[in-house]
Amino acid sequence: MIDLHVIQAIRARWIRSGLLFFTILIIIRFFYLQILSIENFTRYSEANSVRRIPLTAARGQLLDANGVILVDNRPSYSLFAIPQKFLNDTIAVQLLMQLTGMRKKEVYNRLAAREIRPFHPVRILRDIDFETLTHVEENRESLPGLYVQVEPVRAYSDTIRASHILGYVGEANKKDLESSELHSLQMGDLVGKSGVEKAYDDVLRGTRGYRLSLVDAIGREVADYSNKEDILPVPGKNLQLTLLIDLQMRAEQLLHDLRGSIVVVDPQTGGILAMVSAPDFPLTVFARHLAPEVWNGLINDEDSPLLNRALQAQLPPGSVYKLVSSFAGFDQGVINSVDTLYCSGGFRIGRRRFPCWKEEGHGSMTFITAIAQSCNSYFYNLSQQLDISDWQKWGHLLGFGRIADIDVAQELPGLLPDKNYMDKKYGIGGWTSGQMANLIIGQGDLLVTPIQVAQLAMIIANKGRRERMHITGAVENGIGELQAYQWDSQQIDLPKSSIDLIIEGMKEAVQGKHGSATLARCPGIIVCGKTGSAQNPHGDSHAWFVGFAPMVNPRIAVAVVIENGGSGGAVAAPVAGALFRSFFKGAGNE
Amino acid sequence: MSDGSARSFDRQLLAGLALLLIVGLVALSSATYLLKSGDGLSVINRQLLWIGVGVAGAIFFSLTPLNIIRRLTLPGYLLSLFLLVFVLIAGHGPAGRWLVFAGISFQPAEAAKIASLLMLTSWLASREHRIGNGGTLTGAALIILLPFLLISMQPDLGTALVFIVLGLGMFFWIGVPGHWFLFGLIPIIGGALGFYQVLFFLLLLIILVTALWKRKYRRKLILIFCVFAASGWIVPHLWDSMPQYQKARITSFVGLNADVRGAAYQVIQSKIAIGSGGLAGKGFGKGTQTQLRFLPEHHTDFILSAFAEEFGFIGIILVIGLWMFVLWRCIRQAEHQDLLWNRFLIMGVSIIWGFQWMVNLCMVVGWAPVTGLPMPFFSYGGSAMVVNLCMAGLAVRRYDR
Repeated sequence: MIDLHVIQAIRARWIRSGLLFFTILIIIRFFYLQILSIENFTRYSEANSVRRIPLTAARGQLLDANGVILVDNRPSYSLFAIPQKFLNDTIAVQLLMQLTGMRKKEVYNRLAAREIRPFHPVRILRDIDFETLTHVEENRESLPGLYVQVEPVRAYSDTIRASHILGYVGEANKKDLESSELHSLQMGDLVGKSGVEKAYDDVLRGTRGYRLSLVDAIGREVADYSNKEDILPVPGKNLQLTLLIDLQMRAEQLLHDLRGSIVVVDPQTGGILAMVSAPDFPLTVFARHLAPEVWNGLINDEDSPLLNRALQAQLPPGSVYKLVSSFAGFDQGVINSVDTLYCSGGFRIGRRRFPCWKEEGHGSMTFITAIAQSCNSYFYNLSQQLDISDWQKWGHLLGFGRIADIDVAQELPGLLPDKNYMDKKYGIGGWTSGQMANLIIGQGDLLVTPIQVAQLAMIIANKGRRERMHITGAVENGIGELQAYQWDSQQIDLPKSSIDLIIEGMKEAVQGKHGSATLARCPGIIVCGKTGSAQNPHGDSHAWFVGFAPMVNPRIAVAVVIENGGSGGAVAAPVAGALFRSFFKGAGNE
Repeated sequence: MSDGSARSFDRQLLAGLALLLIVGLVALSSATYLLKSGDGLSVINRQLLWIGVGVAGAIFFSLTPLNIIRRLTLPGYLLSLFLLVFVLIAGHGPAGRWLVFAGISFQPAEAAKIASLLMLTSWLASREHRIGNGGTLTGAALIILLPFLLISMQPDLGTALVFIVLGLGMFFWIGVPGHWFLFGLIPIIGGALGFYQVLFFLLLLIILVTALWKRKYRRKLILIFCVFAASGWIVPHLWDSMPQYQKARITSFVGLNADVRGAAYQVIQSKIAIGSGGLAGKGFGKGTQTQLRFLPEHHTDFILSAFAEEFGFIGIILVIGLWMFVLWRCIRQAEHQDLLWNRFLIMGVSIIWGFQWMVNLCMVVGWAPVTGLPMPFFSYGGSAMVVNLCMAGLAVRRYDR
């Protein structure tokens, strides 16, 4: 057997060489994996087991002028998923669809949004109800990479809606992400989409935090990874609005089932005390996952509930605008306190007779009675002695044809025709003094927004001082103190003595025996006002009221419009009256 | 040698094996640090129990006189074949690989390893003077193929492959000429490389160039070229023409798990576990991959990944070093023993251990498909532990002076 021993000696050498070769290779492999690639694999290992859970910051609260909470936060359960673990698991996706009633496309859209960062959690569904939560928890084992987290969502007052002012929040879209500062916004974050929520989004939003958590292979949290590295979210700052919740509530009641707007301003500060655009919508529909049907319903509603009419409805002002025309008349010395005009129920301009609204005529009219009774003839007469540019100048000075630049939302400027406009539209010389007569009484091409009319009320109440109108009064700084926002104000030089006469006319309109706005009276308070019934091609006249109270040291200025509501004196004035009564009952003894 | 008792024991091998067993236990208790078992007994306690049984077996196999072992060989082999048949009919467990006997479940395939090894050794040793002739080799092939076929039918190709490798290895060890193996490998390599066209054509080119250059081996090389080219062409085409369900059957048979994504996930998690261990590891029971169950089978097939995560490169070098020592020592003994039976047996044990060791290492680092071959002395599993310890008992026997 020498032979076999010799052969086996050679074979043993082969075997040993093979063994050595393999050992060297495998050691190199382990060296490569454990020493050269350790950083990579450590990262993977942490991505596996350490979950960086974003903590949503609570948005700041919105408070009314007295500190009553209008918009708050409440805890809600949101479903999150790690796309990497979830995306390829069709069974899990199927199960999730079953449990939540989501559509397949929705689920995949959500997951795919994070394709670039497969380990970054994605919010699948916001604010799930308790039943869904229970189902998900029961099926935890079959839903790898899915977890539930408590997040703050908006909770709204049930006494007022104020939908247009407060605004709704929604998930940041591409545009929001692009315009945000670096990394301050992520896909799926909530941002303000309208109203105060949008205008003050950066103040309200707060800063996202993170919590590091150790999870096992099926995504259960096992323990905190390290509390030291956690970053707590910084809640957004609270905003104190100038709104008065009682007045807002009353205003909303008054416009219930109507189409129109109310703007109530504190003339001393320019702060909006109440602002309603009717019809409106409940903000709560935006707090949850917004169903497409609901959204389409809002968009396609004929009365456009999403439109903030107070800022965006451009309407003819009707007789309300006689106040503006009066300033031009005084400025040009065309009218004064003593001259009278006889109203026979109409006024002849050229060959055409322009009717006053009172067919039998007002008789002899001074400026004050003309304002109080809203005599058209008086102003037709004025129109013949006034140049359009002087008239336009005063409209512009008093804020028409341009936005009031209130701190929320997009206003529309209205339309204040000047000579150029008229020349362009009707051709040079193509428009007549008849058109001027219409403009002077707030008809024709003239269009205003309710906020502009409220601004006019404020300027008159302040005898020329224009406070910048705003909704936000103060912001809460980090230590719970309120810091007031500073808003600019501006003095408009009004023609001598004109303002007192105009105010006197407005007082007579409400308080006088023959006034057109007597329904706006408020017991114990001297109210000044002016009505308007603006004819328009869409049906009944728009009923307007503009006014303020009390006459001395005014505390509240009001603009009311009820679209196609009829006569201002009959429809808008009582609404204003109710507002005055509500305001002075609640705040009269301060 | 008269009574067939061992004269002495290989103390160095014994020490090496004991160390391996201890490190294996450390690995297992670290990997199962947070693992809770259903019935109170922890994984580590169960493993200790099996080690107790195994050590008893090892003592039996190291002390029992050779003639008694030889007398028991054939009945043992036949019993193991019977059990393999029986498990096909009445198997338990996930893939029907288990037999339950008196409340204890075990895998007949593991028992078949030692039984077949003893049978093969006895057969070859008894044909001392006709070692290379066809009858001897046919008999040896039969001894190996019977358990191989029965185990493949379970199906458990990973374990079955151990028998093939054991057979081939023993053929190599008894001196079957090298080119027989090479020639047998050619269609296998060709068929496999046929799926990787660049490599395949590169190798074809090399063979062709060599054939043109080396006049002496031209005929053989041209034959090799033809077989290689034919197999490399036929196998992939055959594969492509197969219906999907047949492919699935074959992949699942070959041990490329039917759940390919699941297997890929295991390998990825295994590499993450190993890679994140670094030089010194994350510490005893502190591997996140292992403890948080990202690593599947962390106490059985992938125990080395868990070990690499928790004890790092240093730990792995220690394990590889210990294994190298044990295998080296075995090969040395196989080479230097006088008793032919002992030479064959120790080499057989080395082949069984070495093959499983290599395949398991390749599997955890992502070089081999997930075949389900456990790491001897490390992976949790009663039958394998007992059988490995019994083989260790056989391997430490010495007869020379």
